[in-house]
Amino acid sequence: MGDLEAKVDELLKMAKALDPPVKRIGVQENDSVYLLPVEEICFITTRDEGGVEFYAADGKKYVNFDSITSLEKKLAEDPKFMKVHKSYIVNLKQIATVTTVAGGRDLKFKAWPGEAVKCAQAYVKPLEEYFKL
Amino acid sequence: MDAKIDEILRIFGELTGGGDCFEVVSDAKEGICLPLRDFFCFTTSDSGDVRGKVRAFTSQGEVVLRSGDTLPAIEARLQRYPQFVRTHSSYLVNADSVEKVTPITAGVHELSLRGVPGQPIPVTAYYEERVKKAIGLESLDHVIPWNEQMAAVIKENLRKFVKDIRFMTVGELRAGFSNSQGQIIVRQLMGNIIWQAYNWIREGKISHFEGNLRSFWYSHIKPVLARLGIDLSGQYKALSSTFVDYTASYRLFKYKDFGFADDNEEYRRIGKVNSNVIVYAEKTGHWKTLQILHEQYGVTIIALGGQPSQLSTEYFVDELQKVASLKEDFYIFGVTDFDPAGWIIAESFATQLGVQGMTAIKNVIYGSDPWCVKDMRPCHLILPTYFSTDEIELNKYAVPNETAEQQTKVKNWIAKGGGIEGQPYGLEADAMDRAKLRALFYEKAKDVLKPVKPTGTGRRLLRQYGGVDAY
Repeated sequence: MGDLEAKVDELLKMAKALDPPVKRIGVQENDSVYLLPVEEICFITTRDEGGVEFYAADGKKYVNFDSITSLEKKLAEDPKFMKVHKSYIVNLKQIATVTTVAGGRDLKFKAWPGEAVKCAQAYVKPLEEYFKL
Repeated sequence: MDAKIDEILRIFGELTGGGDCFEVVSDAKEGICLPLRDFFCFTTSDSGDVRGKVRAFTSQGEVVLRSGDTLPAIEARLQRYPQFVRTHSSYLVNADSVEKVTPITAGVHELSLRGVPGQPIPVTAYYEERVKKAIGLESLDHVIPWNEQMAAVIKENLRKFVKDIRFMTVGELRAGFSNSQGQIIVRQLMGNIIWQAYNWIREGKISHFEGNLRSFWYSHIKPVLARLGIDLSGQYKALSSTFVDYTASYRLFKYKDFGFADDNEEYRRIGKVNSNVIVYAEKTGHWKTLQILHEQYGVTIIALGGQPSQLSTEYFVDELQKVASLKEDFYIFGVTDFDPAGWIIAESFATQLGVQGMTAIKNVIYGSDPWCVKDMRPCHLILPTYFSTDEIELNKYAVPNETAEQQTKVKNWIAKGGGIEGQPYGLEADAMDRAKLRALFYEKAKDVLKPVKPTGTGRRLLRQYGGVDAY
């Protein structure tokens, strides 16, 4: 029974993963703020013109003017999000395929068949641990 | 450890749809018990046979609650749950069900709820803070961090094109700038041509533009619209209002970034000593009088030549900024016709100055006449009060008051203190004798004018036209 507390801690961690602190992210949609549920995000990347773009599972792109660094912090407690490149954060639950390519892995998403997100070499290990590859 | 287990139970409770169940009793005395997350909104009805009763919007549809359950009673029962928030005197909303927030006017917003489609929920200014906190947004107006320029670029759908848009084929233009019905969105096409030209100038890919806005229309816009068979009427106006939006509202760039020539360049002088005292005239016919004031008192002058253009005002303020700080107090005197059009000119000029960063427009002739609203607006020098009864009788004319548009303008003007004894009569700026006009200006401005020695030209003009020697 000595390790009961440790087991409860583990259970709490798992429960919190199911109930992350940030559940929705505000994105700009014309004049409105749309609250995009985080589970619907496939991946997040920077825009050439500034700000970030959210590629969503509904096949739409959403935008706000945050940065990858700040979003990484906001999503830190949510284990389904992982930074895979200096300008990409992916939702691990939305990944459809992982392909080994030169310099890392290519990640593909069901809703975005034309887009391959590069997972840089430095992030391959945690990615493969997650997928138990 | 108990606390940890409670937290685990709470999370799993919510996730499995168990957790706290909230019961409401319908009008028909039937109780329904649903998890809290299945309640989207409670509202009181103000009409129909359910008038005065609370309606609950839930995952199981709409339930009309029995008459005893008032909104404050429901609110009290839900007090422990921070996701339930009042947004309006007759709305209690589950913040977790909010899908979209739209600003309507200052301090007024609307929420769209997941589960209650097509029914916008009002948020009044009084509840704004609470709503922000409950939804977890820093602002209900726009995303935070906010970037007006980037937002404008998205809103106007301005993109980067490798190919010069002007040289695109009709097919390429249709592919790039059509709506879902296949019609060209002219505003978007114009906007992207402007945006491309601006970026290419900035990147040094092409040189600054040597013409004016008109020439830009002929060289960049008209040929493309013509090629697409678009009706050209009104399109030059659309181009210039697109420019006004981009420069004044969105501040994407300035006219000078393009190097556009200002048609009005000849008609402005920046004062040396009293640069913060500005006299403007609606017509270039008053230029000579303005010049005398400029030479005599060292004031800044500008003749607008009809409606002031944003481009001209930008260049004017730019030049003014070389000698004066925009943080200074500015005193502005207007020589416009005393009629609705003159009033609109004065208002738009003041607004444009504000857009260009001149925020401290003071007024020196308070009180006696309604045309000198305390701050931010210019003083009008052409007012009936400066004319004798005889002069008014000889000079007054009926302002155009036929069409609905004219009637609205006249009505607004009279409401602001326009008209002669409340009647739709006006006075031309030219009705006032020029020497009298200059003397009137000095009389009104003398307290804010720094003493100045007239220039040689000033002395000559003084001898020639007469006037007070301020030195």
